[in-house]
Amino acid sequence: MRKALNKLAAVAAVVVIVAAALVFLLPQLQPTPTSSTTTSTSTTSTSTTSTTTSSSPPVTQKVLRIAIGIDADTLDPHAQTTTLISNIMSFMTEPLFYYNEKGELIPYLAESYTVSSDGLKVTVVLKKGIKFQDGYPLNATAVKVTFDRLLNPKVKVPSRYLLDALNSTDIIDQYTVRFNLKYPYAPFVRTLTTWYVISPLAYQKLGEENIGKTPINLGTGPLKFKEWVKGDRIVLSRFDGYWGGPVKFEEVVFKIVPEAQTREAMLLSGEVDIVYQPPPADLPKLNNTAGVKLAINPSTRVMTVNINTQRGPLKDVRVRQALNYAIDKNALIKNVLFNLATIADSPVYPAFFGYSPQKVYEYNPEKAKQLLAEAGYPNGFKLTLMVPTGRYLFDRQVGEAIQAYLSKVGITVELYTPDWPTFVQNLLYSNYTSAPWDLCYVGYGMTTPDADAVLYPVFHSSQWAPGKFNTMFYKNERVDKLLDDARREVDEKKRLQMYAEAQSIIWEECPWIFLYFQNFVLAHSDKVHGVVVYPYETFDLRWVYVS
Amino acid sequence: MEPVLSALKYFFYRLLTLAITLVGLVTLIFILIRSIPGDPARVLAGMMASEEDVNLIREQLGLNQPIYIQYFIYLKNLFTFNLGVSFRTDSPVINEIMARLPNTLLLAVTSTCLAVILGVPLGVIAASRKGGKLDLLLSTFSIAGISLPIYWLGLILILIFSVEFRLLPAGGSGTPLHLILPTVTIALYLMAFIVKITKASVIDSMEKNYVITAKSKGLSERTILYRHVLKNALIPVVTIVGLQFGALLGGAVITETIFAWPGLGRLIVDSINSRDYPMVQGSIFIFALLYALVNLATDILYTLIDPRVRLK
Repeated sequence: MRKALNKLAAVAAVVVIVAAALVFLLPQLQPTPTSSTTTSTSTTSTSTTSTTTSSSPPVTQKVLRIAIGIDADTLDPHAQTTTLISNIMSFMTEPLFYYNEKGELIPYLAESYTVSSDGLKVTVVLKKGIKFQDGYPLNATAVKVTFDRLLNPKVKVPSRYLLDALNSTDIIDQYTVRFNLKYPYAPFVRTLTTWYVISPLAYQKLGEENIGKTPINLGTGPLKFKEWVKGDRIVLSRFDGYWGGPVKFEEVVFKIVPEAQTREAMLLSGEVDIVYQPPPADLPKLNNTAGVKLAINPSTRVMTVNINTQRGPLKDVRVRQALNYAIDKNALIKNVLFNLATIADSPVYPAFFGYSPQKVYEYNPEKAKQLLAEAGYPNGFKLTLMVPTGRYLFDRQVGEAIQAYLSKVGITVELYTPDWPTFVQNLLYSNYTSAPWDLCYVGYGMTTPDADAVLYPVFHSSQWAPGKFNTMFYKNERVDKLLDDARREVDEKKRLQMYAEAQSIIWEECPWIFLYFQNFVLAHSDKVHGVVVYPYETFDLRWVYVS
Repeated sequence: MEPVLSALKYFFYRLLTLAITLVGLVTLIFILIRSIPGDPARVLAGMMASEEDVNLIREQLGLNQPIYIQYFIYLKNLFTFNLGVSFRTDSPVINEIMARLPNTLLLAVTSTCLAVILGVPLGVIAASRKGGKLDLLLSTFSIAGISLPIYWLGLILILIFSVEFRLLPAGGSGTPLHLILPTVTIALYLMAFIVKITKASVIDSMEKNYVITAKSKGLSERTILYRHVLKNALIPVVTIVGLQFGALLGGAVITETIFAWPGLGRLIVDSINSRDYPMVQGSIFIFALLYALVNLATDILYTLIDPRVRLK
C-alpha cells in the first residue's frame, strides 16, 4: 500500500511540475500577429494596369525554392543592414532608381529627374499607372510618406546616414516629387537606389508594430509577402498586377539553411533550385557537375587591409608602400580565394561614377625590403593584424597568407581574430593610440554607385574614428579639399577630374594595403533560367522560370 | 497521507532552491553578457551607420540607463514572467523561444528515446556476452560514436541519404521525414555513451553479493538479469540519460546548423553573436528552468526504480 502511494505521489509530482510549467509560460505568449496571409487579399490587384498576360511559357515549376544562409531580423524595408535580406525586400518593394547588370543607374519607379542649378533641389517625375499590391496608386504622396518616414528619428533606419543631405520632400503634383537638400550633394540621386517606396495605405494598416513582421502588400514589387516562419523560411507569392508583367512562377520559398555544405547538398538532391553562396572550396567540383550551373559575378565589395597611419613605422609612406609590394595579390587570389576575386586598381569599383584606374603595386619583395631599409627599418618590426572570422570569404586564411608574406620581408605579424561585434567595436571605437591593432582586414560594399560613397567616409580627415569610418586616421589636405569640392560640384566633368586626382594621391600614399574586389556566387540547377546577378551581391528573380 | 505530504514538502523545497538558483543564474548572465566587448546598438545598426543613429537605437533599447536600473527593471519583469523584447527582432523573447522550443523538444525526445531503446538492450547484451565478438563490435562502435564529430557524421548522412539515394531531405523541418536524419545523428552519439554505461553498470551489478545468492538459489541467468539486476544497473543509466536529455533541451547547435533545424540552440548562439541581451538572458533562463525540471523529474524517477531512495 505504502509503495503504491509513494509511486502515486511521485507520478503526481511530475504531472504537477509539467502543468505548472505550462501554466506559467503559456499566458505570457502575447498574441502574435498572424505571420501568414491568404492569397485572397489580392481583390484590388486585378486592375488593368498591366495588360501583359504572358503567352504560355514552357511548363514551369510553380514554386521556386532558394536556399539562403541567414534569417531576417526584420522585414521592414527601411531597416535593412544585410545585402541578402535587402535583396529579398527588393522583390516586394521597389526604389525610384535601380541599377542594371553592369551596375549603372537606371530609372525604375521614376521616369526622369532634374537637378536645379544650385544643386539644392532634385525633382523626380514618376512613371504613371503603377499600382501598389494593395491597389493604392504609385504617386508623389507615397514617395513623400516614404521619405518622411525615413527621416523620422523615432523609426530605426540604420542607413539613414545616406540621406544626410535630405532636408524635406515636397509634392509638386500627382506624379512629381521634389527633394530639398541641405547642401548640394551630387551623389544624391544615386543614393535613391537604397530606398524602397511603400504604400501609405498599407503602412497605415500595418503600423510601426507590424511593418517589420508581416509587410503585407506594402510595395509595388512582383512578389507579395505570404509567410515568415522564423528560423525556417520566408515565402513570397506572385503579384499578378505587377507593372513589369507577372513573374512566371507562383511562389518562391527562401529556405534558411545556415550550413553551406547542406545548401550544396540540397541543390544536388533536387530539394532546392538556387543556392546562395555555396562552399567556395567546392566550386571547381560543382562547375563540373551535370545539372548544376554557377553564376559567378564581380561584386563591389572591396577587400583591403587598413593601416593605422599614425602609428610608429606606419607613419612613413615608404613603409606602407613596402607593405603593398610585399604581398603577391595574384597568388593570393588564385590559391587562397579559388579565383573568386579581381585585383583592385582603385578603392573605387570600376562601374562607379568617378572610377580612375591606378597602377597596381606588383609583387616585389626585394623592393619592399629596400623601402623598409630606406625608412630606417632594415630589420623589420612587429605588427598586429586584426581579422574577422567567417565574415568575409576566407578571411582568416587571407590573414594567415598576409602574415606569411610580410614575414618574408622581415615584418612579424601577430593575428588577432575576435568575433564580429568585438571586431566592429575595436575598429570603430578606437582612436589611433588605443586601437588594439596596427593592420585590419576589412571590406566595404558600397551600394551607391558613386566614388564619393567610398572615398569620403573612408579617406576624409573629418571622418576619423572613433564613431566614423576613416579608421586609418589618414589625413591629406589636398585630398580633403578635392573630396569636399567634388561632392558639391554639379558639373560631372569637373567631378571626374577631382576624383581622378584624389585617387592618384591616395594610391600613392597607401593608407591601405590595396587587395581585391570579391566575387559573388550563386549556384543553381540547369533547369533554372533567367537569373540576373548584379555587382552588388544581389540577384533578380523577375525573369526566372524553371523548366 | 504521510508519504504524499512528504513528497509535497520535498517538491516545494526543490522549487524554492530552484527559484534562488535561477535568480543567481540570471544575474550572472546579465553581468557576463555585458562584460564581453561589443555594442548591441552598433551591431543592430550595422557597420556603416552614423553615430547619431546608433545612439538613437541605443536609447530605444534602454541601454542608456545606468546598469543597476537596467538590472532592476529586468528582475522586476522576470517575476511577472516577462522576458522582455528581442533587440534584433522587436518580438517578445518568449514568443521567439516558443516558436522554436517545440522543435527542440521534439528532437530531444525522439533522439533520446531512440538512443535508449537501442542503447540499453545493446549494453545489456554486451555485458552478458562479455569478451565475445559482439562485445568487441559494440565497444568499437562506442568509441567511434564518442569520438566522431557530429558535424562530420551529419554531413556523411546527408551525402548518403539525400544526395546519393534521394531518400531523405537534407535540411529543414515540416514533415516526419525531416526529423529522421537529425534524430539519427544525435541518437548515434548518445547511444555510444549509453551502451558503454549500461554495459559497465550491468557487469558491476552482476558481481554484487545478492547476485551470488540468487545464483546459489538456482535462478537462471536470465531471471537474475531481468528481475533483479536490471533495476539497479539502470540507476547510473538514468542519470546519464537525464543529463543528456537536459542538455538537448538547450538545443543541439551543430545538428541544428547542419540540418537547418529551427531550434533553440541556434537561437542562443545567434543571440550571443549579435549581443541580443534580452534574448540571451531569456533563452538561458528558460533552458535552465527546463533543465532543473528534468533533474527534478529524474530524481523522482529514482524513487520508482530504487526503493532505497527516499525524497528528503
